[in-house]
Amino acid sequence: MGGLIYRELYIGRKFYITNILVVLLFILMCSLVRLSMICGNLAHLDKETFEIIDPITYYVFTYLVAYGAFSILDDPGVILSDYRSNWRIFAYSLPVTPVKRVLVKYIIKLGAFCIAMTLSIINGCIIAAFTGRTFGTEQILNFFLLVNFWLIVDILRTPMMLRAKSEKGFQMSGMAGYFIVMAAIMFPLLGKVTMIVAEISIAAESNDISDDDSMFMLQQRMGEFLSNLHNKVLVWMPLLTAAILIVGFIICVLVLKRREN
Amino acid sequence: MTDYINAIEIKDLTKKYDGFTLDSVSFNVPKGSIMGFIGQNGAGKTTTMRAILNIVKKDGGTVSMLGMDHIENEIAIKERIAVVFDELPFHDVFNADQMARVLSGVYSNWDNEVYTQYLDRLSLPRKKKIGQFSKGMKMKLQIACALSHGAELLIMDEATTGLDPVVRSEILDIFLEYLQDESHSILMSSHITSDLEKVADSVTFIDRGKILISGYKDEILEQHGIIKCSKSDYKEIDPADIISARLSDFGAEIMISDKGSMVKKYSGLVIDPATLEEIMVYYVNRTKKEWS
Repeated sequence: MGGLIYRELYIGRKFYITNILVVLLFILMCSLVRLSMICGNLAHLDKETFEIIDPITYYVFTYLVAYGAFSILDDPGVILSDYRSNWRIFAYSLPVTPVKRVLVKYIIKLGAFCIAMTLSIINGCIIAAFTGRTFGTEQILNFFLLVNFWLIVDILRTPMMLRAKSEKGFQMSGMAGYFIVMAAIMFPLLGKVTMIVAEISIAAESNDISDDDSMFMLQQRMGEFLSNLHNKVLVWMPLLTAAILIVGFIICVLVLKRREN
Repeated sequence: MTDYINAIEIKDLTKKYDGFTLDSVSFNVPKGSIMGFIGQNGAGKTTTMRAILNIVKKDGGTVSMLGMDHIENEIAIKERIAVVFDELPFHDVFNADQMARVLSGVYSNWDNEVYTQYLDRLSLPRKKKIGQFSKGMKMKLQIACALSHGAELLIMDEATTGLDPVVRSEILDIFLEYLQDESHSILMSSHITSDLEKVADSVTFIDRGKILISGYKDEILEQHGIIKCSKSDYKEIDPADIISARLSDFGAEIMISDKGSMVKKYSGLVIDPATLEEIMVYYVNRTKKEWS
């Protein structure tokens, strides 16, 4: 199995190294911006502007960098390379079970996850230090949200990619994972947002509420909704991650056990 | 380790696709021998190989390799066999040394010393990326990998196709050396019959999913012959004795499958020996009976 791990890491090395370097670069850039807000060009912002920019930069720098870091869980191109080189067929002639073949991919994903989490935590600590905030469990649980996004995309598309019979099919499988997850997130969210907006519009019309007050109500309702959703989701995040990994593993093993028809 | 007489035993192997059926394929590869598996393009050689290796799911029949069922003991069998495909299935980014690192982590009996010896013997560079290898070098690398983990059985699917005669000769010599060990066997599919005439002990001929001939090569060559005669003499020959006949303005060339009795029956006619290639061509045209 060590040989197969080496093989997949070597094929994906450019992807992994590029991702890590880009994330490190972003950590550096974000740190410099925040440093500048303390003792650089941006240190002379007026209070009002600072109060707007401070939380935005904190959240964006913390979670955008983490999102970028966790993109290391994306497909590094090994499955497509296997298809192009006929390794996919050759692998069936090797004394390696489907369980081991999938385990190889999961071990690499675990390693990638550890690297991504480490980079995200380092970035989170730096940004928190520069912004005078604390970095702790809540941020780490939020990182699991991003991890699960990539993991769900992965378990949806990996079995399809393993079975793709053409490059076109392969590429469509890759995109399908994103679209399905984005649709699953966006449609209910948009539906709920539309409902809230509709409720407030009706309330505003019937009670003769001003536009400013309506906007305030909308912000409050949205804030409450997102906060409640966030709190509920966070509790289940680590369990959801484990469940996604197990289900994904089983599906991939079943796909590899099936023979060409 | 299980004892066995035949390295591969195939009985009534069936596989159906749209427009093609592998129809009750049966043959054995005796231990310690090379079986040449011949047929024209699309005859079913690769489908048979893939069904044996459980790369495609068979629809019926039984297959055993090294005395074990090919599905129940799949991993144990694959530890002891090596497969060589017509195209190198390794990524272009690796070099020969890196492939050793990959495969040594897969096969428990990987022998790096043997691998290095083959690389030196076949003049393969160790640090050059596989993507820069010629076709012949890629095939040599695949064979070096196949012979470096103590495999008892080599299964080769069109491994010499597209190679020049020098490289083919080099590879065939290696196979003959490999078979010096009587526990080693080779199943080699090809449509280059001249290679098989040089090295094969037995031959199986497949056409349109059906096995037409299977047996020892020398016996098959001994049994078959080509009668060259005029068209008037051709009319005297019993159609039941004819596999197929190639007709031209100058006469007829007729393939027969029982040279021993035909020599006595048609004593006035000359029967030339047939090559495997000629046997293949005449058998492919057997349904037409007469062709040109």
